[in-house]
Amino acid sequence: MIEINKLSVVFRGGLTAIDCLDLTVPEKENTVIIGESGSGKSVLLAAILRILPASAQVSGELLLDGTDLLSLGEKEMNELRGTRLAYIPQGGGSSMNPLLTVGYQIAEPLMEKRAASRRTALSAAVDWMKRLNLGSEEKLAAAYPHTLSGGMRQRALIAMGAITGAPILLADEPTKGLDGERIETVTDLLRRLTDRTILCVSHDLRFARLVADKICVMYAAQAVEQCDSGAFFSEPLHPYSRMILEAMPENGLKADMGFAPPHSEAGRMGCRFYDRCPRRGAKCAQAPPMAEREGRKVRCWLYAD
Amino acid sequence: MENQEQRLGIKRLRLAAGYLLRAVALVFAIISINFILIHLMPGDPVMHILGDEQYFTLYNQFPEKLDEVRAQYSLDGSLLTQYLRYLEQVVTLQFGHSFIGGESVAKTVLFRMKWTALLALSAIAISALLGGALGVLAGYRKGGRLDRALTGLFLFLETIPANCLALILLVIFSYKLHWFPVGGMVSGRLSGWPRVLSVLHHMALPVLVLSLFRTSSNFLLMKSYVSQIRDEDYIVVAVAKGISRRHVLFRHVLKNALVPFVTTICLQVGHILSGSMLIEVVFSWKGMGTLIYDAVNNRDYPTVQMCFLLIAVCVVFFNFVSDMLCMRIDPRIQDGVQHG
Repeated sequence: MIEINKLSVVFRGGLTAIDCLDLTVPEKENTVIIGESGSGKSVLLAAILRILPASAQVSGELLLDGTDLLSLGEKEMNELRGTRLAYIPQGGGSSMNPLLTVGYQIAEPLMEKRAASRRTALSAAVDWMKRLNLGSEEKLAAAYPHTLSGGMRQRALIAMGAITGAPILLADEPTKGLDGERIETVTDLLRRLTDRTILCVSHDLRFARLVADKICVMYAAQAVEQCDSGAFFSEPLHPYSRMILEAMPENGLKADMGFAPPHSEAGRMGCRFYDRCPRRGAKCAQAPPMAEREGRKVRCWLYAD
Repeated sequence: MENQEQRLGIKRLRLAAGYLLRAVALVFAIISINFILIHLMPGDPVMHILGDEQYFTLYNQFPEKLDEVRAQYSLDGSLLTQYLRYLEQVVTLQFGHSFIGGESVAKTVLFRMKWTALLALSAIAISALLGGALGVLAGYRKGGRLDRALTGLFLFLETIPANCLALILLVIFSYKLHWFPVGGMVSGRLSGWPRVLSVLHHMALPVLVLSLFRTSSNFLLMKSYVSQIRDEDYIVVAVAKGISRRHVLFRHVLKNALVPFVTTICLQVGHILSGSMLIEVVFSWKGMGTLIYDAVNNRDYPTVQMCFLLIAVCVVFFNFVSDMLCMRIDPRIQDGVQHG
């Protein structure tokens, strides 16, 4: 289980990427973090893995089964990567080393962390590629990343994260750039990994609905709503959550989702969603507390007692 | 898939053939420019062959004798005739005899080349290993203590002119401390191991100066490549996979930094025959540098032409080697993919 207490990440120059985040990722459940670009989702995964650039100042607690990851030395932390924590990065062209074969890069954690022979590790890599339906897997394993399409690369990266067998899987936009059929393959795979704790970051609400047990909504570096997936999709509480759900095509694209960072005094000092909120009131110029209501957490004055 | 592999193989072969063809065309262009430049130099080469006094005597009293001398040294006829004659010489590898001493140009140049190569190759090997290794360490831990100390030191070295440092070292270690010989390449009447040791002793200071300069530029280049690559997404992903720091450095960072570094080193090797001219002059090293210097001063066309030709061929050849090595390391180059 991962427990995150009052986590803040501030980059040099004062940019706050995560602001006092509290989040519990239950064991063997799928938690999906949703929110727009720049809300701090990917930074959270990087903070857990301790792979943020040196310019980032991290404070708070990141507890993995009671051990604070922020207090570990680099050597101890590296022992956890690939054994307890596995990472699926975003599938942009730069996530794979251009000079190493795809198969080698998928197999590398097995060779490094499980002392598997090259042959065994490559064979396992091909098996995982088959599970993700890449096609001509043996040939692709010997190919270089630039010969793969964006979708193929994304699935290869999923194989790279999943192959380690680490109990906690941190996935950053695993369905980015995939077509409907491929999204289904990835969704099926993640749903079948019932023995793992998955913390996933996604823009894709349909994917989130299919795989998530719990949802955490982030807005402007803060968590604004945390609840069970069913409750979130049937009755979102926070005005931002309502807005993103209403903006889904199946809900008739009812909301206008034009991106706007907090710009007014109230938006900066009070509720971050102040400038875009259709239900804002006078109280919203002050920072709202994280209210608890029927096991759900909402950062909004509407639900504060 | 097999057809695709065949097509890729043909594509790579075509790419290599293209590089080779370009190299040959370049050598031909260099041969031509080489000839034109040398013949554009002011002054009559016959004057240097005969000496001022004899030249002017013949010029005033027996001009037909001057034409005979010109014919004897293949300096007669139009520029085009001389050019065609020169091309024939290059193709048949007959480089003629020196205008000054009369000895075979090929023999002299090859002898001098051996000594220059000894000096330059040692310096390139030392500086590539030292500069490369230190650059990797400093670049990987950019801003660390090692980086700050070495960057300061090597930037300081980069700012001192090579011949100036050579003279300072010569004064300290040769004149004052008598640790190394003042000049020359080997002590006389020696053979076997004593001769080898004598050569090593003589080359120590010039190699030190050349190595220091090349090490500093190699260090700064490698540091820059590595510090850029270590921030790439795939390096962050490799760290996130739990790969050990050593493997991240060697398998992921170094492999990617090798492509530009190999190009740099190959270009240095390409300049092996001409790159240490000043140092050769300071340390009285009888290599290509001093040979070219004397040949240019004496309008010794055959010697200058062969020296310049060899330098050009060397540069083009090692540029070709660099292309082939980069193609071997980076599959994107093999496949003709554009990348940043």
